[in-house]
Amino acid sequence: MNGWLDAFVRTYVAETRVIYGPALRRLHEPLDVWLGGLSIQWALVAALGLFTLAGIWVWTLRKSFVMIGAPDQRPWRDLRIWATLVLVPYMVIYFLLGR
Amino acid sequence: MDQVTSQLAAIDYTIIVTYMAGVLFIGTFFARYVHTSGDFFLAGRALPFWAIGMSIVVSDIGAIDVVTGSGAAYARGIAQANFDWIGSVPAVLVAAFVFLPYYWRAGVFTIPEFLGRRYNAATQVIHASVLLVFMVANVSMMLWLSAVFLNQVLGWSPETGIWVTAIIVGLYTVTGGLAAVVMTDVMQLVVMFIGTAALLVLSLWEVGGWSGMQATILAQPEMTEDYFRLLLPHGEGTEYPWTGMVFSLGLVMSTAYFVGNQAIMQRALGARTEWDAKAGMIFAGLFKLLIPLLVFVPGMAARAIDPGLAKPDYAVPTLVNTLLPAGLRGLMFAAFFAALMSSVDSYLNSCVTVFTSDLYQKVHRRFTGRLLGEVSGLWLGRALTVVLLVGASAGAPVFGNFQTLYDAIQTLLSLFQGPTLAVLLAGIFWRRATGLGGLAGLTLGVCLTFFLNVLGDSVFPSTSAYLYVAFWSFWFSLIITVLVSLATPAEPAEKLRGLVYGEVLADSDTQALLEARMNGE
Repeated sequence: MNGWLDAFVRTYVAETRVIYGPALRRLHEPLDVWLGGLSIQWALVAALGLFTLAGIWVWTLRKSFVMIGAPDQRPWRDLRIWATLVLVPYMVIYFLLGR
Repeated sequence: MDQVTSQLAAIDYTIIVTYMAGVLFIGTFFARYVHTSGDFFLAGRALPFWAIGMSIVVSDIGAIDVVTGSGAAYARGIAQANFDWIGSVPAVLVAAFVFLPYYWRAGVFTIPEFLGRRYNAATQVIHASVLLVFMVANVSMMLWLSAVFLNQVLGWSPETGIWVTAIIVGLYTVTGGLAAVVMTDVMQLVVMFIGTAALLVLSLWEVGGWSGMQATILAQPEMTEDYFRLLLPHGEGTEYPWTGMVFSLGLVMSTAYFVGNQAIMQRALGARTEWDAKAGMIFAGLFKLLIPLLVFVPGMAARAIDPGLAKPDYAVPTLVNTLLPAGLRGLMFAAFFAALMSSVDSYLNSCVTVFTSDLYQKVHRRFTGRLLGEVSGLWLGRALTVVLLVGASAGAPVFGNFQTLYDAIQTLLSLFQGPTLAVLLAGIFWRRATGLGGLAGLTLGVCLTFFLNVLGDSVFPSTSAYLYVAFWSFWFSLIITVLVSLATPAEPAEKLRGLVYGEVLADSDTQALLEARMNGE
């Protein structure tokens, strides 16, 4: 059973890759060439941009929405502050190690 | 690992056994609070944010991550950390502020349940069935890993290891339900963090801190600065290219994981308030920040200490063997076992929830015309936990024979991420999405994912082809859902009431309707 199943899976994978691989590779290649030509600085911009957008989006939420169900209305219960405090160390790490 | 085994002292064994007994005691303690199915599946909706956050992290980080994650960091460097950093945030924020309030107010307990209400029963049953198969297989696989671990540490036979783990996890999961699972997870996280923190401090001390580690590793042959870079170029042969990390992992895979993974969402839905649910999810994002430091940096330090390991996965065992004194070594093994048990109990509880809510409940209602009672649901949940655990334990040794099956399970688990996220987003935010559209998007998307996974690096430039597969399958499923929806008649407004985002969050009439639906009216 073990040998039979392994042999079937291996044959199926090999045949599929030979038949469809080259055609789909040609489709994907132009994108790979373009992305491969971008400077690594764009990677940093994209990663930091993602965190920044998330941070801006969080502050567009109403305070009443993020405080629903909170035991009290103290400022530290504001989850927008929590989200920002979580995002900042991630941004620092990517700024330092992403370059 | 065998070398490590031979160096365990009496105090190490004492710590391991005490830890196991402690988990069992805390877990069974919560049985006294379980009286209904709501208590069992959602911890009576009484969980505080800190327990939810800690439980999410420890359910996510399994023993496999500790060993293979640090092994991958040993081989490839800090880029491995992307899976816990950009692979967690901003996804936890999307889960906390978009999906959780929606699930919470719509009264949804499981992801397939939402798919059933929004699309149709076929989508619910297909998604629930496949999800169940993979979750049970995952529990089996983790039980097998546990058996291997106990065999190496305590010399037990694999069968003994499987059944001892199953009995310990089973006792508190069966009696205490989600509350027991979450509270033992909290203890397990603390043990895991203490054990791995000890390893981090001692390994960095050994290599002269971060700068010492950097200098030693960069002096090694064929080593480049890329080992210490999070974002790597998009190019042929790059294991973790930045495009895959930012666009696929950061946007699609992580979001799908945090909003579509039953084991993750269930903890948050057991919160005592909506605020606790959201806060728990964000709190998990804070803990995820620490995982690479505790797990991956020791793997990199192992590279500085011994660059010639036979396998990268030996990184942590080697450090444990060479750096940790007696006592701490036992704690590290307890941490490893904690990572294992916390994943087994979480998936087990989620399996039972999905089976009861999405499969059994439908059959029961069809034949009796009413919903399962609270007490009947509790006993069904307990019985199913036993049945699933026995089945998973009996099947666990299979994973000792099928290396390819193990790999296949890991790949197949990732098949749903893109398609599930696509149909969830379309269903929640687009009124025009229809039942047939969702069904087609989900099934064809999974088919495409399977196909692209087979093609792998024959099409995509990275050896980690799944990064691209998840990205493209998400867009493919979304397009299919849109096209088929537009080609089929729109759903009646009454069916969509309480299922579309804006209504669920803002309309008080809709809230009354949702409560009536939850009560089976």
